Amino acid sequence: MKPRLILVLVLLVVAPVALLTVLGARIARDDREIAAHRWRDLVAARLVAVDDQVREFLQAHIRPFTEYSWDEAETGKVSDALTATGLVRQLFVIGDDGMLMFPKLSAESSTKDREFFQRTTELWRSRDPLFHPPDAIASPGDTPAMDPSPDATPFQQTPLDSGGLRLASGWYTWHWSDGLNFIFWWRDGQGHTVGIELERMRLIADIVGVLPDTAPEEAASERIVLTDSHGNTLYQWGNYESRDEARPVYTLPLSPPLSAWTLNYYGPPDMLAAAGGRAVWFNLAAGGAAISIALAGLALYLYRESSREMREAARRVTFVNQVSHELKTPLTNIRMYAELLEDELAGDPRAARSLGVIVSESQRLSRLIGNILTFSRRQRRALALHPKPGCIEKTVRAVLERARPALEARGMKVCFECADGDQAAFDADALEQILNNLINNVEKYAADGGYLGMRLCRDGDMAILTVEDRGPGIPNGEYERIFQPFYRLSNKISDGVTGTGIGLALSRELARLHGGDLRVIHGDGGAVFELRLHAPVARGVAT
Amino acid sequence: MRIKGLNGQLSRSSAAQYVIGALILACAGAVAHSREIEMEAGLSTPVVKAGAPRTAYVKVRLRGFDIEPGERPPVNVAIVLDKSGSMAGEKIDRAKDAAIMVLDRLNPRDVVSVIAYDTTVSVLVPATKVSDRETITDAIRRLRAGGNTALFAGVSKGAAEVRKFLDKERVNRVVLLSDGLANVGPSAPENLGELGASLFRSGITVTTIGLGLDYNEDLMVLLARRSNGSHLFAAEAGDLAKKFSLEFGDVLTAVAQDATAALDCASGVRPVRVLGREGTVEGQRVTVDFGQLFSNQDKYVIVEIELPARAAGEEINVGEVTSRCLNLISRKTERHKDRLAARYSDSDDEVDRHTDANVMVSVVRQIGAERNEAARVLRDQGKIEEARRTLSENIPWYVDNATRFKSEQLRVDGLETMKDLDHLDDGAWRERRKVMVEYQNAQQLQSLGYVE
Repeated sequence: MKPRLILVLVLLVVAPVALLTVLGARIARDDREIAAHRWRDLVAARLVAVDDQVREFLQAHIRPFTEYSWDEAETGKVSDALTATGLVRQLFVIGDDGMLMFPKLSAESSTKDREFFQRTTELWRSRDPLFHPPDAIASPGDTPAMDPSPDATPFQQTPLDSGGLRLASGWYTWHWSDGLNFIFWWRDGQGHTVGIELERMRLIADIVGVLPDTAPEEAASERIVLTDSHGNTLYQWGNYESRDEARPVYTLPLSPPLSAWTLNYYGPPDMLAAAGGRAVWFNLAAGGAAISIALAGLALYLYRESSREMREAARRVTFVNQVSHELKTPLTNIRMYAELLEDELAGDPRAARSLGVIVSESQRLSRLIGNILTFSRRQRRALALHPKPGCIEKTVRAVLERARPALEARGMKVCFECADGDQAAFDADALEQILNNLINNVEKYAADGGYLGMRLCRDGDMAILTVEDRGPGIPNGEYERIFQPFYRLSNKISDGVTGTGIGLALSRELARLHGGDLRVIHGDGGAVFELRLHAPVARGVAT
Repeated sequence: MRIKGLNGQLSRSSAAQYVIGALILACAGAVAHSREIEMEAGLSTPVVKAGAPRTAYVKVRLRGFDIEPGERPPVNVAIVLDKSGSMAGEKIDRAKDAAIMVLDRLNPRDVVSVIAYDTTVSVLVPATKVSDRETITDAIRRLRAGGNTALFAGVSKGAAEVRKFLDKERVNRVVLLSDGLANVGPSAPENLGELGASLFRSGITVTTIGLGLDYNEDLMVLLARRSNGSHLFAAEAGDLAKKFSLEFGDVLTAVAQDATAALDCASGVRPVRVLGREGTVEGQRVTVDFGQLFSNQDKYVIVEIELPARAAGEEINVGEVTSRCLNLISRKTERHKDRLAARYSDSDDEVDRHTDANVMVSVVRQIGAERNEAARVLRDQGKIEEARRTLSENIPWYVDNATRFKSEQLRVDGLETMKDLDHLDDGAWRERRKVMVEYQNAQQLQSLGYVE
């Protein structure tokens, strides 16, 4: 019984907690996904802001250049002024006829100009409209019809000036010497296309100068890496150290003309949880823990209550047991001396009657005590039978004879039919105890019926004894329950009648130990008990 | 002996030359305290052997005047420190000491910024006037080493800080310290060289200090040279204070910047090349940037030209030398002009007698440096024997010319070359190479407080 109780109590705690955990995990997962999404959006916004910063920087540095209008006489000065900014590597001018006007390639060209032609050879050979047909550039609204060379991105035309004069300008990028090179070009008022080739390394350095630095004491929460078209790091900031194989959480290509470069955001994996999931997890865990504790407390309380009751019951039984044991010896003495007196006062009918009452009552008390002690043995699982050869009929008759005075005093008629007089192996004490209980019950509950009928017969190895009365009988639904310990029929029958409530339980227990059973069977009026005992006929045994 | 081709007129008699020379020297002495940059242009052979086209050299020298310690121009300097993992221990401590020592030499008119880089870059002290020394010193003291070497990013941030207060009248400079190979961001020497050249054009000079034996001296020297800055080699952490001191000795005595010189060759005279320094040859015009000029120090350039064949007795106009610089003390742009002329003669003796030893010593040095550099390239390719041969041939070049022109300097150069020769083997080469690179850069740019 106890392990089952524990199991039930554990289930009482575990089942709701498990359910809660599953539900909580699902909520947390959903929440984490939402948080992760939100975080990605946040990261994206950060990278876009960085990109804006770079674009603004470029525009701020490039826009002033477009104010230069080309004048052949001033070319040298303009070129010097532009290159003195450090950001411009080379100035070139294409006339409205599509011919290169500056710089001129000749035997006297400086090494700087020669290098420029070397770098840009492919551009002059390319079919890009920027470097050739004047018509395509003359009308900025038109989209260039020519295919750009495979290495070059198509140049874009973006009107810079909104006031009256429409200026076309744009970027041109190409790969040379293991990296991207940049040309910014614009059209001046006289139809010249003026281009400046940017100093590649300086451009990177200036962009690095604009981007944030890393505060040494800052928490290692993120790392943003700017990579070039080959995936090489140009610059990075933030204290988070990602592992080499780690993939960025988010990547964003920069806006043109730097679209070959990429911003990569790295962050710790638990950043997702930190972005909001952690709070949900905490709440769920706290709720779950509170409920678990409450349930566990309840289960513990129930367990303690139940075990306390059991302990108390056990204490009561022990107490009764000890008392019974103590009562047994004086009672035996009383019986013995009463029987002695019976013989001595044989002639006096008044004394004989008084003695008869004393004897029968003390016998009743003995039975009671015997029941209690047997029950407590049963409780201790120390009940054992000792079948011995004997005559069942004789034992039954002896019991009946002892009970007869009390029964008859209540005006009951006792009837015994016997169809089995053979010797058999059985436990006489057990049989006596069972019979005493049954007879006692009849005496207590069915005395009004005025009849007790007993019949002994045999079915193979089984001795069958039926005890029948004509009392109020036992309701159908109670046939089994009356055999439970401490169960008493709660109706008028049992009202005002005392009893320990263990007689029938004990009797059935003994009968079953004896290889048989005790049960109620349907009778005409009152209650009919059928006792079956495994009591094989002992043929070879001398009487 | 010096000959100045002043006003292009060279007297026929050598006596007259002496008189004019002495006069000019006297004048130069008299105006030495005039707070102006002094320009001197000379031809290696004012008297040329007649009959065939002849190679000659033009030396243009600019000299910074003396200043008192209190009157130096304000500086705008970014100190960029390497705090990568390899700097841990004594190196970073000495670097901090050196940076703080530099700070002590600056005054509240100066602008300083401190940048530290490892895998990423931290601007420890954004460009600020040197008034709150405590804060700046604390930021430097807090530095801890660890991580990779994002050298390019470090220089970029340093330059960005300098640009915040970029001013023609300040000495604008990035001082970069590194002890390792750049491994984050662009790291090809040529890339850093491009950056250096670009920064120089916008008025910023980069000085590089290499510490220990693990840094890439080619990258560091190219970055410095293209921006007209010095490159210094500190073999030990203990040398850092000395090297920083040397560098700031220059920075704090700059008297002019944006110095450029141009030689416009007369027709018939062909400009061939510029020795040592970076220069531009465009048509008949040769231009060279000197960057900054320091108190009481010379910077010069040697231009190789080809003189046309003429008959003995003829005189020709070789060309015009002009220079321009911003005098940081007077805050005015100074311009100087000089003409060069040559006379043809049949007599070898006369040609020899008139050969300008001063110019020739510089020519010998630059050519010697070129050869030593060629030897270094051979050694880099693993051709130790060929490098050895090149160096050993270069020793008599120095020694013979030292005797011929009575130059102590050339003798020292010869001795240095002999040392180079002794250190070509694997064990010693790594350190020696760094010494060579430092020495050659100093020789070519006349940086490092080097006075001939």
